[in-house]
Amino acid sequence: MSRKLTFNVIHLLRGAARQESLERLKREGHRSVSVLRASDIETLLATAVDETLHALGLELQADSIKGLNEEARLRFMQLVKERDDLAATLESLRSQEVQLTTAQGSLRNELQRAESELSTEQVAGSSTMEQELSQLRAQLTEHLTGLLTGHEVAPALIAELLALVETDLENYRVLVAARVRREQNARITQLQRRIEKLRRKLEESDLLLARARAAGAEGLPFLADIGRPLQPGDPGYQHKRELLEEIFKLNVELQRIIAAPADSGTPAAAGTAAPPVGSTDPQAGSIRTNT
Amino acid sequence: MSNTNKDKQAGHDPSVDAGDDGILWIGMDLGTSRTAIASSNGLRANTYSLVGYPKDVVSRKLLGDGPLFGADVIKHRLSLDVYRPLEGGVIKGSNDEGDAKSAEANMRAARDLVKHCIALARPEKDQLIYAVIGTPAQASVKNRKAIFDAAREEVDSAMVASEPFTVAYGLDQLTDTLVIDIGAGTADLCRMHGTMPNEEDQITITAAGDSIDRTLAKLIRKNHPEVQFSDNMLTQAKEKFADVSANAAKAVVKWPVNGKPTDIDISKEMKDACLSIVPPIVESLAKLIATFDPEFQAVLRGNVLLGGGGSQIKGLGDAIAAYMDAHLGGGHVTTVEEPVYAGANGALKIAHDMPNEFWEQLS
Repeated sequence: MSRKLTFNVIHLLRGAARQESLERLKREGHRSVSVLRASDIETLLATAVDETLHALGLELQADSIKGLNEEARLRFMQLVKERDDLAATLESLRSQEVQLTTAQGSLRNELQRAESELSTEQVAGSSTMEQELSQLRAQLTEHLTGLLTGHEVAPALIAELLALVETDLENYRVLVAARVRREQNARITQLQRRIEKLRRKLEESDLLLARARAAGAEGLPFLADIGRPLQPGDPGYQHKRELLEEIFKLNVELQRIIAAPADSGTPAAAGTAAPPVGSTDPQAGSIRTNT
Repeated sequence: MSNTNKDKQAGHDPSVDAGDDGILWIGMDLGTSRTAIASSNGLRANTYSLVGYPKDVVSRKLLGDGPLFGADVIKHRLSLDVYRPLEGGVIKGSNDEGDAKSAEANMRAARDLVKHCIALARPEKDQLIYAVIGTPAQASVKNRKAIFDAAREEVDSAMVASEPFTVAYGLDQLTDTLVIDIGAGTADLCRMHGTMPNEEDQITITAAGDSIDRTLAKLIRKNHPEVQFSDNMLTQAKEKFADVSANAAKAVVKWPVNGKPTDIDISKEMKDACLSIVPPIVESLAKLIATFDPEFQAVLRGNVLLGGGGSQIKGLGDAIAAYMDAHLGGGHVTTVEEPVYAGANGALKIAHDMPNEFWEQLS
């Protein structure tokens, strides 16, 4: 039967299936659930189609079957390519995750620094200038009073002079304060922009990081189900199990021979004739295993 | 390594594997010409068994420091020290032939090739890798050791199995079947009769892909002495035109004659070269059939499975069957559906079916 058809049906079944978390199933008291693998579906479909074709007395031409197989093969290759691309993306996302985690640390530090600069800027600003002007005002008043008093200047004139100085100083203070405020506001705006930008970057990297982690956790989708491994009840289980055991034993024996020290006198270690593994025929020259 | 969760499931054979995300099973067919890999995550890949290392500073700058593999080696072969680390299905020099330096270089290339192929299966980080690697039916212990050594650094546990057996296991043809696995270096023939094939059940001959190349080169040189061609051009022509069927298309190549690209018809040479492996294969089949229980010889003759890269020669199955008809009184040959992957698929099936406890003992 067409594997493309099987693929489509499996795809549809997957689309129609709902997902349940294991936790929820556990909560609902399920201890085991029935599982239908893609390979089982494929077998069932193949059987059903074969039986239907048989019942209808239809026989597909070998060319048609070949064509369908070829189409399925091409589709499969396309899927493999898509999966390879996906794997490359996944790998790049993973490497991005590492870079993003490092970059996020620096971003957070920078953000913290900018925020602290902003609060310092908001609190400080004109107060320093006020303090300096107040000191200047006090010094000027003291110096002028001392100077004019020594020259018998009328107190009213001194008061008038001091008032003039005070006025000029105040005007200067207002002027400087306005300029400082403008500069400070500009600085605050700049800092706020920087903070905003840093926060945006952080959010973006959070998002990318989450995506990279999700992709990493999800891994690559399975393209082909190789089916379940050999299990009791499978046709020829005992026979295959015995063969597997024999392969295993032969490999154990092979590894033992390989691991034997060169001077142990074992023919295999010495690289000369040795009794064949798994065989009773003592052929000289090389050891031949059954596997 | 601890037993996996699946081993603890009640009502199951504890040694039976029921899937484990922490393990990647791999089946590998390490061939003289091509290496194919199939893995339990669904990925399959194959590459020419070629490894190339940049020759000098200039090529390193152009191609990078790392080795190149497969088609990339062919593409950049002039800038590379090229290794084809396998010969006759085994790692060159593993039988102590040739000089030690060359053996070491081939071993390194084989290791890099295995590493590259495992990387093609894209194992997850921290995933255990259990691999079954196909070896020629009659590879010696030294050959197998070399293969183990090449794989050791890349896998957590490895087993070797004979290539024709892996093909038969993968296709569930374990009884009364004759498997012919035609590779580049060797053709392995194996008689499957329900038990593990022993030495008498397996024959390895050199009538395979490389011998076809040699014959083809000889015939072309004889019939078209003016034509210039390289091994690579020969292989490409073979891959494109190998056909022994009655209605085979003409094999016309554009090869240089005195520096001028010229159309050369090599159809006859191609067919003769491809057919040259049929008699030795059938003769070996005859030996395997003749030494089998007479009652079942007919069944065996009627169930010949043809696999390996060589089985991609169009019409080869029919040609073998026809030769069997003429010399063995009949025979039926089935060509496997996926010649390149049949060995790797079977090796993967063995790896997947192998109980975890066995893998753990070998790791």
